[in-house]
Amino acid sequence: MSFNFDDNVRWNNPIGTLKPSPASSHRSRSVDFKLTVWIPSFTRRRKLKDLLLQRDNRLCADCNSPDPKWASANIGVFICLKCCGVHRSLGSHISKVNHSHVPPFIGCLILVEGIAAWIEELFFPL
Amino acid sequence: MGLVFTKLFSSLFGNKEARILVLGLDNAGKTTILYRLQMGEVVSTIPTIGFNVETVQYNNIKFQVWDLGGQTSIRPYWRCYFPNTQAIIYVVDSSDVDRLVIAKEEFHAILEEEELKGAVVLIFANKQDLPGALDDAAVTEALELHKIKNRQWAIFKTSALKGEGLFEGLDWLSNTLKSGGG
Repeated sequence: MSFNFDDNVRWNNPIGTLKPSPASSHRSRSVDFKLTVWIPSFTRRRKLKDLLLQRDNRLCADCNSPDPKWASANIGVFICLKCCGVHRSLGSHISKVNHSHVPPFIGCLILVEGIAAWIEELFFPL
Repeated sequence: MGLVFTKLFSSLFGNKEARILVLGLDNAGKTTILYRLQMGEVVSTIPTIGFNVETVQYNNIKFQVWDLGGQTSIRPYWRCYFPNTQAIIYVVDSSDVDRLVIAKEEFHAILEEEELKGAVVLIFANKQDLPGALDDAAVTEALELHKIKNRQWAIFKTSALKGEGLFEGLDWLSNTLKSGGG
């Protein structure tokens, strides 16, 4: 069974339209947002690094290959790419897999943006 | 003149081409769907870093299907593939109820992209073979599909492992594209 375009038209409220999103004019709010995004992600990354440095976690939990980069969040193990494929095929009701690595350049970008916005706010207030 | 003949020829004998993006959260089944469509068999996959692209010939349309990796860290790169896209196949893991909210947010973010204004949207409520999978009505509700305006869309129940629903979706897509949508 499927819903096609006609159903869509019938279900839509012809009067209601999507409101345009408000312009992001409030500057300090964006700074708060950047910093609150950055700080937890930083501590989370450090926790993750501590976990990955534990001796038991240096090997894939399933096949013992070194340097596992993936993790099963509900089982609580670190696994390698190949075993990650197997875990994924079991379905998310058995194993929820995540990449355990934040790309460093994205972390850096968030940090630089946060600092730039903060400096702007401090020295060049509107 | 040659161009006119080419256009006439291709309109008479079909063989339209369409560029299609397969998007969705990680582990939704995008790669499995791509290879199920292309080869007709289930392949064992690992998380896609980057993309897979295959050509699928169906109903006189040559679909160029791009399957992009869905990991959180590489989702920002989806937008690099948006230009000249006729259709989007958005794949949802219907059994992963916890992440349906994230799937909804990503979906509506895609719909707001300027470059995808004219693209038709096909939603696959995938993994219907798993226990506890939501049906198409529930996924429609969860993704808030009723909010879609000015765009042709359809949702299909699929199971990439069993091969159910995929070609019904492709049928809809080819009919929609032929009738001028996208």
